[in-house]
Amino acid sequence: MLSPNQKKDKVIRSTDLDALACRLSCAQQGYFLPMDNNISKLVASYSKYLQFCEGYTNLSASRTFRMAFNDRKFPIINRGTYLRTQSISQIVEEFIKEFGTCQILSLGGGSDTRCFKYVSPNVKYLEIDFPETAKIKKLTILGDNGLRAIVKYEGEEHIGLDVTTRDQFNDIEPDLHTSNYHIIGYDLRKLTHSSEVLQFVDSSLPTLVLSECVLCYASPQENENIINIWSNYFGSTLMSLIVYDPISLKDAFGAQMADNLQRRGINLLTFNAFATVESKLEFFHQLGLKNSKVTDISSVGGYESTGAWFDEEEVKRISKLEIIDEVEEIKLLFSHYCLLYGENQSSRSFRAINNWRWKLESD
Amino acid sequence: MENFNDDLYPLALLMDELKHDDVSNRVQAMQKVDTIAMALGPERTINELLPFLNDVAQDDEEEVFAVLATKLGDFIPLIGGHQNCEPLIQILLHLAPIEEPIVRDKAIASLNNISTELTNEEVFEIFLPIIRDLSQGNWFSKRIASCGLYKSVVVRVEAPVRQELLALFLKLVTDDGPMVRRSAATNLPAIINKLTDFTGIDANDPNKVTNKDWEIISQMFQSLINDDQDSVKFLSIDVLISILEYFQKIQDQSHNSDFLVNSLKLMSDESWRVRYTAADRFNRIAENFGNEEAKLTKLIEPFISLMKDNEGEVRKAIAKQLPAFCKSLNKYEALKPTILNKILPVVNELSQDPQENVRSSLALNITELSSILSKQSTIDKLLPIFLNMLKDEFPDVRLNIISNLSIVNETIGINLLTTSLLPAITELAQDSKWRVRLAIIEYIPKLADQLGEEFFNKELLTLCLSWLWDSVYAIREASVKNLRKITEIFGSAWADKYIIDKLVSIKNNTHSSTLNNNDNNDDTIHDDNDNDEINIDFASFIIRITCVFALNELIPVLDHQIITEKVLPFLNDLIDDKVPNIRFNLATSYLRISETLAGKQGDSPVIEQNVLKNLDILVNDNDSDVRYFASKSIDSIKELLAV
Amino acid sequence: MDLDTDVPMEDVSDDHSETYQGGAKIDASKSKPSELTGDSVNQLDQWIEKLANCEPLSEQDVKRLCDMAVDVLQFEENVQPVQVPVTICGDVHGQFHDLMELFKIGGPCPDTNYLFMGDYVDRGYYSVETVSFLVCMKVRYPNRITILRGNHESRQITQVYGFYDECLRKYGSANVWKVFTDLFDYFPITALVDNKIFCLHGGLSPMIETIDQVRELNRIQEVPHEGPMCDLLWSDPDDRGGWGISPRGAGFTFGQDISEQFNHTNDLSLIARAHQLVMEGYSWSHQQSVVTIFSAPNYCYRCGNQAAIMEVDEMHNRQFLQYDPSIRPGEPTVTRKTPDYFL
Repeated sequence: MLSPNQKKDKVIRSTDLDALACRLSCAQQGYFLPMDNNISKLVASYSKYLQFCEGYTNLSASRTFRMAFNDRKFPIINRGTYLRTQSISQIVEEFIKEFGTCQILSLGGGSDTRCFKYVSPNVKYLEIDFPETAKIKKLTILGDNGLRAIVKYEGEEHIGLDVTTRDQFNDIEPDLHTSNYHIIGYDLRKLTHSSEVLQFVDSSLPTLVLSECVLCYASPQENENIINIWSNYFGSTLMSLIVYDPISLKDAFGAQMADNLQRRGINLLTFNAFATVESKLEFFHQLGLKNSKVTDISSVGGYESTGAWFDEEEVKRISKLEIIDEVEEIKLLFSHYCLLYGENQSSRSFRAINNWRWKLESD
Repeated sequence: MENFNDDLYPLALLMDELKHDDVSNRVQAMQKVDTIAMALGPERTINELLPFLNDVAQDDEEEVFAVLATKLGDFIPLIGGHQNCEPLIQILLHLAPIEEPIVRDKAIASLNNISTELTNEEVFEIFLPIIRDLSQGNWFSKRIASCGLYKSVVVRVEAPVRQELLALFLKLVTDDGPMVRRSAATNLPAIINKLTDFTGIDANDPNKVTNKDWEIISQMFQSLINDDQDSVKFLSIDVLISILEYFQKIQDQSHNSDFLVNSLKLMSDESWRVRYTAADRFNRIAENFGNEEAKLTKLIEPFISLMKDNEGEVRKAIAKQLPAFCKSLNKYEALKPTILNKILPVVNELSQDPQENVRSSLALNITELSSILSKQSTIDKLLPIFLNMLKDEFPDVRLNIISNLSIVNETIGINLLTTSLLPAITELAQDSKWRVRLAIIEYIPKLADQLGEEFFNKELLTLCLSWLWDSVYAIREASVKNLRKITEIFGSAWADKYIIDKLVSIKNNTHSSTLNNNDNNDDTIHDDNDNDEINIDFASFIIRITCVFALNELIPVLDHQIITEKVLPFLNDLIDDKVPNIRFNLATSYLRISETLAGKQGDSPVIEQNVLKNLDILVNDNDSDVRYFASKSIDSIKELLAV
Repeated sequence: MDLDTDVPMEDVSDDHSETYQGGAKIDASKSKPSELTGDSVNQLDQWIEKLANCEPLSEQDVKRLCDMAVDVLQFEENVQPVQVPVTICGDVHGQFHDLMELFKIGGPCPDTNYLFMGDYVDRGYYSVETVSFLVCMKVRYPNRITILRGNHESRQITQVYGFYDECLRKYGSANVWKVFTDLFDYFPITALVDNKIFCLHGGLSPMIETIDQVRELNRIQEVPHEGPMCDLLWSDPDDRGGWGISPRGAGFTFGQDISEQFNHTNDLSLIARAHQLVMEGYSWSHQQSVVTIFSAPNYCYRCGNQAAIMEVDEMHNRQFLQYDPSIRPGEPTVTRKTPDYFL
């Protein structure tokens, strides 16, 4: 039996399944080039281990799994998933290009497969998420020779291959550390200046911190706390932060969205607190982040006057993948998601960030 | 799988359905669990079904748990009797500590239900250990659950055990976890009520309730009213009420002064939730002092303070207590002036409360005061308040006053109210939300009955007719039904003069040349339809068909002469209406007319010559729907005439 | 006995491509639908009663209903003439309870005449009940209600946007989906209200200048990917003049100049169309040459919009009625799946 807080966390963790299902559907429709084969490995891992996670049994895990994966995703969801994934990946790529040797720190990235694409001898990739989510990712990696090679895992061959009971699952250490890749099981809301997780993060490397639909589940106070800790931790080293979050815009669509998600037990704590791109930007400003910029996904996708983040060829390719009969809805839904950038008070700056079209920038 | 046979089928099916992705399907499946148990018989229910349910009870959604918890409460007969209760109780023990109140409450209710089937020995052997275990559980949700179980055993054990249980319960009342204390406080009144019921059954019962019990309960109460958590403290009010009822029952008033002190303390507590609960239960507390004028007098000031409370919820709650408390005061001559001089001025303030839900609550209750006050006081003091509230900006306030006016009518007659009543009704009638308009229409027959014909004609008739032309169909439909109800009250002659004549004269209003595009932005009614019938254009389809709908509804309550002399000619004129929808509704009108006239001597010529003749025209119409409804009406009429 | 609802799409696609490639046949021996027998009327009334409670018909009854509907719809014209008074409605999208609210606002059929401009299925949770109900009403009262084809009344779109899945879920097979999508081929594609208001789901086509050209199309087929029939069901009015590329990947956008020219050429007062979500339920474009009507409040249980219908009386007066989602007290919310968001 779970306590109310445990239940809330279970629901938050379950949003990783949603995101994974969206990425799978998106990949299957051919949005990602080249095809990302790692997504299905994580899906397989979830189907195996979800039953051992807190609050699940065999029965409810398979049900939850089917709920997430069986229903066809609408084109609007595939396209939004594509825009979200690709826009952030573009930034990651440019960051790596600009700094060469650097570090990517993904907060609450869950079953995201971006790490496998960008981890390299020069790029240190760290992921922090709830311990169970970390375990599932760790087990995915250990169970796949290709992934073991990508993250340069040199541990013992047999580890993690024989988890067939809840006890065994519970006994698994969530963390995985290799020379360039770290996955760390940790509840970010508990982060302090002296948290142990910090020891794995290299404060001398220019770092891009990613938060995709993660900070929205934490309170404004926790948001402030988490961001402050990281920007202070890096001191004079550059820390760039990319946040992808839903915003309510305080309109009828936003109210309905809060209502619908509430019904699933999901509470978006920053949704109304920072309801617009303006207030998101202002929040970054107040936290002392500089060079802040913000846009919404509707603009990123080229549905607004600003122009898309993708070249014409790519836009053409995407629009041919599926018939879209949700144009007005796309604008509505996508304008309720923002992409926000900021960097700490370092002497360096991520210059290429200015290459993209932003809706608003602070000075 | 080799065991799979027909007998196992229901269980397999249930297991299968409980795997369904949709919660509502699993809920439905669980609803059938008792039928399945019946099919399986006791032995297999115990050996096969219960172990499965035991698993389910550890992992599903609350909706499913809630059904399971409820169903298990009636399972004793399905498992062959109380002696087999243990596996059943085990499942419920999974569910009882779940924090979702729906599940927990159902599981506890079922456990309590099962306890009634157990022998006293079984209660002692099985149930008591459970209560003890849960009460001392390291997990606070277990302790929470335990609180709900005491009431079913507390009078089934011997006095020493009972006192041991009460002592255990005292620990729950003083638990470290506020949620546990809250659960204990919530369940304490039921325990006290059990003791109250038990008392007096047999004065010589060795197990009768004694001071020993009351000492523990008194400790509990003292702890609760001094709890530092508001969410616990407010529950002590129900405990107090139960205690008061016990002493009422044993006719012991010696503690009343103490209780009054405690009551006053709670009513003026600094936490609004405590004051809210005190306000909400005000009369249940006051009842106990109803026979002591001096003590009742001491409650007047707290009552007034609660009406002036700075928390809206408190004012809303105390507003509901107003009539009953005034009734209590009214029993004492000396206290009567208090109502007028002290309470009514505050009621007046409350009627202008900044919060609409407070005013709305007052509006629902205030009219009852008129039955307590004299006619003159009602007119002087209460009426101005009603009139003001009828002008309230919030529709619910006005609706609540209007819906309760009958009581006022009994005292002073409604005419005194009318100057304000009308604007209030008119405004509601034009509210932009059609469901508000609908609500006021539904009160009109009641008002018509109270107001009488003359007044109605003068003041409400025009409004009632105007609803016929609302832009929303549901309002037009309601208004048609409304006219019939009013006709049932005032009679056919009235309808003839005030409705039928008006309806049939609309035919002359045509100005079909207008081709203005009316792009109304919302669903409000036309702003020109109040008194200005010129704008009701008979050339408009909706106007014509609404006339037909209205007449169809009225025909059964009209005198025959009106039907033949006015309604029929009006309808006959529509027989070549260019819109088929009018024509096929006419077919229905003819049937209504025939049904109403049939059997009356001298009326069959009308049916034969007039109605059937016209239906014969319609049955050859070029529109198939007109033909269909005409031929249907002809068939029914022929059947009528044949009888 | 785990029912696997995820039947691969190809099975059915092959199946239907075969059926409709042959082209639907119109019974040449007849020129108008046969009149309903008393038995059919009773049957239809029973179905309507059942459907009004949001209970779907059996598969067998759906087949019978659709057979009857073909008999009615095959004789309707590409530009189906409609008399005033009539109440014109936009997208419904399987929001059955809101359709019932629509009838509360506009009045029940057959007392009120209705013209629905397509998109009965997909997105909402009750596409089966919604389209069954409207088709039943059409067969029962062919002169009182006109149901045009929307771009979602298509085999391809329904496989993406939910109707196909809903049929599988509710009937266990795609048969009902197939029967309905075969029927959709017969739906008229436009209507002309009293020669003045041209009604259609989407908008104009660069290949269509006159209404007579619409009359010449062979409509009885799956909605094509391009060409005039596709455009009529897919196009949108736009603030920019002339023709433009549609962001939907089908149909075009057309400017005020195009609408005005079309209305002038065909002596029309108005083009009424649906197809686009508008937050107020209706929206004027092109200086009142075009009106968009959308009749699904809180579209997809997600958008928070109002819905509207447009009443046109005999004098061609127009009145818009707006409404909100129906109130369904006591409906358990758990049965409803939360619409997808990005999480």
